[in-house]
Amino acid sequence: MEFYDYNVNGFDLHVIKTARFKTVFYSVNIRFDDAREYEKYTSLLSRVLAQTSSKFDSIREINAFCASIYDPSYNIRVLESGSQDILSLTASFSNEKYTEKGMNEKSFKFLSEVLFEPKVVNGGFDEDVFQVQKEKLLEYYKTLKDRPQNYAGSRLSEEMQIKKYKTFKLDELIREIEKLTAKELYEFYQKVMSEGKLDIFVCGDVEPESICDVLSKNIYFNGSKRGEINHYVGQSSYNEKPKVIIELSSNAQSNLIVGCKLMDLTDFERKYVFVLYSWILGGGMNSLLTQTVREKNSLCYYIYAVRQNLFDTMKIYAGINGEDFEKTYKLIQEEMENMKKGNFTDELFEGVKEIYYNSLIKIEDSQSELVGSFTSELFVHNDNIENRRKQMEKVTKEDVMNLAKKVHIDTVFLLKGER
Amino acid sequence: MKKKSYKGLDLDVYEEVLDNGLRVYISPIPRHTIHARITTFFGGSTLEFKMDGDDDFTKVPGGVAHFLEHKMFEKKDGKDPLAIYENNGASGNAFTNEYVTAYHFTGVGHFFENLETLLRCVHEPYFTDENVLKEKGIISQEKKQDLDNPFSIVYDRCLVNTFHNLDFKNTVLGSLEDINSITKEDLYNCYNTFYHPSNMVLTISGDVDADEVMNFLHKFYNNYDFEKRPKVVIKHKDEPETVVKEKDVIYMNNLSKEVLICYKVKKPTYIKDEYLNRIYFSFLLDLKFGAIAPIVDVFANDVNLISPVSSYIEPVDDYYMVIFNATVKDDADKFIDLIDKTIKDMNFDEDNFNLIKKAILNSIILSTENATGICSMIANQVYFYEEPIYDMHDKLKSLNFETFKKAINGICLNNRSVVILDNKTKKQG
Repeated sequence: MEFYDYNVNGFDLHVIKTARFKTVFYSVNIRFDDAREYEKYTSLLSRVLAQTSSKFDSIREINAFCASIYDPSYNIRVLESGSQDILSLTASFSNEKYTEKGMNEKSFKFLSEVLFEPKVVNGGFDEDVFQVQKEKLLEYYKTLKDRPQNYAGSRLSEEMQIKKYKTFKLDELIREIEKLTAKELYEFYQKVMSEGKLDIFVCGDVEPESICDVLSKNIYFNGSKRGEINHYVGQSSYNEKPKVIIELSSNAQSNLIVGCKLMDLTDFERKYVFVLYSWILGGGMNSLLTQTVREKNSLCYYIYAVRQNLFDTMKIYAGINGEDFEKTYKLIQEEMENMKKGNFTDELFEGVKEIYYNSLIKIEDSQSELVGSFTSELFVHNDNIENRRKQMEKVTKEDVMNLAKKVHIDTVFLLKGER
Repeated sequence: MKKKSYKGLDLDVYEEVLDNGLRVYISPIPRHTIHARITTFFGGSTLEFKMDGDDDFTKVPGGVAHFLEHKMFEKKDGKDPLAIYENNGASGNAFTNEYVTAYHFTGVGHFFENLETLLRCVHEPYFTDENVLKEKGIISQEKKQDLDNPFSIVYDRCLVNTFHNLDFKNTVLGSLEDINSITKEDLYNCYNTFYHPSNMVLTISGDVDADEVMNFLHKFYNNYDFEKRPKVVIKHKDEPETVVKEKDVIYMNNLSKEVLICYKVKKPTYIKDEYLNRIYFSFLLDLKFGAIAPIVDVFANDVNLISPVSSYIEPVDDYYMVIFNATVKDDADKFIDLIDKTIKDMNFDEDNFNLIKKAILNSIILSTENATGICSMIANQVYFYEEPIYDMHDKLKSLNFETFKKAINGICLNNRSVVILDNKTKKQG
């Protein structure tokens, strides 16, 4: 595996050359500073970009061209990454060795157009496409209750503020999007293009020089963002007495989310100890929560904990019967106490470390993970793979117990089913 | 052990049938991880069966294959196989669908210990009244997730409304009543019938040496006494071409409307090769509803459609279920009529046919890019077509438009079942 870096036309190109894959992976990231009012633009922006092109008149024509070059699959999103938002396009297509010569270049060219050459009419995005996508998005938000897990997640985020600013409530967001025009959304897109930083990653059995040639012919970028980027957003306070919100629904199952904030983590804790903590508490089948809540008490089918590293927060998700809420919540609190006391086996502790080491080895098995790992080294200052392993080896059981004392339940949301 | 190859895909497969009947397929690829999966041909749509030669069929409640999948992780020594994988830094899981139950793990290192764990997981049952009771709470919660999922609600109802007799009409998880009625005896009954190696397929892919695996398997099975035995007979049920109910509306508290349309189509017979039969039939959907069909522009511009429109085919006995699903704002009938008009239009475009061919060729390359995809592809092909389709790349390249038209000529699209999930207050209004 070889790494190549180029700086061309205002963007950074990173190529990972490896013969292990039959496909080529392509990832375009434009980083820009997150701000409160951006939320009204971001989900609509990715929808509109996916539907328009200056080169084609309709989505069918875009798809037909795609099929003619052996159907590269691609996805446009705006990702939240701590203090940064990322307008991202990821794509995967068969290496031309398996299809027809010339296809790699055609794919790169097409995928660049998708993001950088949207259809613009009178200084705004195509009005028809914009209006339709806006209505579809609004309807999706207005009917969010039909998808209980998504709705509960959205409600918890409203109640447990983890950003530097106060985020929109769902009904506020809906009102903001209703007011939005095609011109305003296009102006936002231009702002991202002029203020962001562009990085492009390519991974596969490719010639770096020729990719650099192809991309430099097709992409010019003029973003002003330069130098160090800090994605990290910590927490400065938490509810000493957790806020508990119970909302009734007519669902069969109740959705419980326990939101936790972690205070004063060191860099080492955030990158290594926190990983082990969350896996021991609520990772796999062996985890304390699964063993206690699911296996011993038969209260749920799923229960797990997820970290948001860049925010120093963690959420615990479970699907239970409404009447079992008190009991489940009490068991969760007890297991979090057990984490403080070190009441977990050495076998479990060593097991999750082993999972971590294996996850490092597995990175090389997937193009998206390779790029993801490389990105994390560049932008959130992760150690390289070899050092990640060495650092993790240093983590002791006491480290995990100490970290456990820094984890505080902040907000609890229960969408209680009554059916 | 024989070495075979998926032509055009750079993919080798070593295959062997063990004395006990287990079919083994090993496909080394340049990865650090290994994925191994053992699949038993017993899924959620099998509820009445016997051994060839027996007089009577055994009947079991819905959801039993899935329940059994959960309980196979219960061991007499108390060591959960999933916990063993995790202690080795690997991850394991299992799933049950309408057709099969599969158990699998993915890991780096400790491979033979993990493989032994996988095989012991499926060959050493330990069911007690107590551990069966415990699982009912867990599986009920799994089911309740479906009961709150708009798609599952309309899909489950659609099955009942489409099939008169086939056990496919039962959901894989079973109803809450089914789940609560399942006994230890049901589980042993099914286990003894379906978890014999001759009813199973083992697929392994990744950083693996085929010779070493075969040596291990021969040694491992020396400790087990799987006698040769007659085949399992699944009770044949005649299924008429009509559906049970053509239209059904479920009223709940939903804010949007969930629509499911199912065409029950007798499999056409012009193409005898089962694999090609299904591929050619699927072109019907690709041409009319796929990414390059004219209708995608209609979908894209229709504000009545909140979600994308999904469409797919499920083979069920002598039938193909052709399924459409979308979440709509107001007008369910408009969507239903649009689908109906489009699917019945028998004009097809040859250029589009050839474009879709290209997309399919790309998709099979993508699906052989990781060990999980390879194991799943081989197991599925053995289940549906009795052996891997080693010449699939050539077969797909040779697809042609004239054959397609003959292949679907005369299909009947008049048997349709529609289910709509609607808001109950609107009903009263």
